[in-house]
Amino acid sequence: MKAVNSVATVVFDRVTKGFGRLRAIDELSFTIREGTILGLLGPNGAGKSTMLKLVAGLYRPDSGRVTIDGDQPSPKTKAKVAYLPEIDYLYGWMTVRQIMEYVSAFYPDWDDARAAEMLKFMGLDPATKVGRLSKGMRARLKIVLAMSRSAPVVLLDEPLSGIDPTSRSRVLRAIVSEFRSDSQTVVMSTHDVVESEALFDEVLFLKQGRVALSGEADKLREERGKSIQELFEEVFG
Amino acid sequence: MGHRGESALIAGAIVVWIIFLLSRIGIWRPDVITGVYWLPMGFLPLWVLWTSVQLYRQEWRENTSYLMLSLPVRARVITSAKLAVLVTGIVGFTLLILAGGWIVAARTGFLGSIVRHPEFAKVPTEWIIKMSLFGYGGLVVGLVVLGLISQFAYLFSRLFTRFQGLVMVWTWILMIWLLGVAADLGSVIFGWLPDFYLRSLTIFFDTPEFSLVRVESGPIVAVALLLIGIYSLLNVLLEQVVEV
Repeated sequence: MKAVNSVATVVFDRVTKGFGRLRAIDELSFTIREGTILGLLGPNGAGKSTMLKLVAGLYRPDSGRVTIDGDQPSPKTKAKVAYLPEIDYLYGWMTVRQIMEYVSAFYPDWDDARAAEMLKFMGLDPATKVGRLSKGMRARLKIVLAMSRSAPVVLLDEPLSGIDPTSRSRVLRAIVSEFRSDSQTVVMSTHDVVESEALFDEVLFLKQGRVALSGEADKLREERGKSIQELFEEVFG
Repeated sequence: MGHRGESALIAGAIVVWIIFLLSRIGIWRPDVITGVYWLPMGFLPLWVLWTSVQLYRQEWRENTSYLMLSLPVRARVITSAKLAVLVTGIVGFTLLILAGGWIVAARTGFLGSIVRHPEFAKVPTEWIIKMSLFGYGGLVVGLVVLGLISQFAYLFSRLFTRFQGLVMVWTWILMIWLLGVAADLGSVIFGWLPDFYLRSLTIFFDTPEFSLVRVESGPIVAVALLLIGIYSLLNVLLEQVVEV
């Protein structure tokens, strides 16, 4: 049996996911390399969130297979995935402390010391009710919940969404400092490429549910003589 | 849980109703006060219907379904936790209602008039306790079944992008119909199972007389099997089919 904190490989094999007539993910085949930070880039409606939800087991493919370490999404794979959705998904009536205790109870890879440290770093008061936190503070709390685990796969869906510029740098610093390349794979979706491009080892440009461009960030910069932001503008401009 | 406020409000309303009826002692007739007390208690099945659906509906309405469905647990952990919340509410409210009924009946003197009735002395205490527990158990089980069916109907309706309300209502009606069909089939298929008997009491010319009432096991077993099936399907829906 594999240890929970070994690095996981996520594979999309000819995956299609539609909503009515719209194909959010269209015959997508892609392997997320283990131990990297992958930037999932694309404009709104490109299929970034759908892709992350498929890995998290919150959506099911219409056809094709998504696998994490060879297993299709199930309670077993959910134990390996830390997922941060773009929307507010926490119980507003719980306090910060209660929500952390609640989440930690389900995950053996939860690190109490790390959580306490991150909570302090993010300037969150454990006694405050989640519903009373500002949007920026709720975003920080979501980061704490996702990064306090030693999950092999961390999915961050627009973690900078709705956060003020000063908090953005704090969130990005937290992601970088808590990332463990020997035991984690981070997939971060965003359409704010400028601020986060330095983070990415690899990038995947998604256009209408298909791969428009992908590769190692440094290689792409070198080969094309452009920054990731410039490539983003080239692909989606 | 977020339902605490709602439960406290209902419990408070029941207490206010008890206090109001106690204030009517001496103004209204004892049997009227005792009778009227039970009228608003018909809300209980409605509360069960509402709460059992809300326990899931709220997860989607407030987007906490993202958290619920991403937890690394089998669906039965979630469904049983939600049923446990429902059972706690049912037991809490029924006990409060029964205690209130007892107080109202005692304070109006209605209970005393029954207990002092010469025929009451002829009823064995053991029989009263057994039948009370049997009746109470039946009430709780019936309400839980109502809740389970409602939860299944709600989750099933989530598979549709349109007319979810209509699908939920029709699924609910279909489930109730299926329970009836299962009971009918059960009496045939499981007719070989031994029946069980309840002692029914009648007092005839001051003489207590017990008669045996036969209760068929077949329909009960068939309905129980169908309910296990519905619960299993509920888990499959939650774990493998529904999405955020």
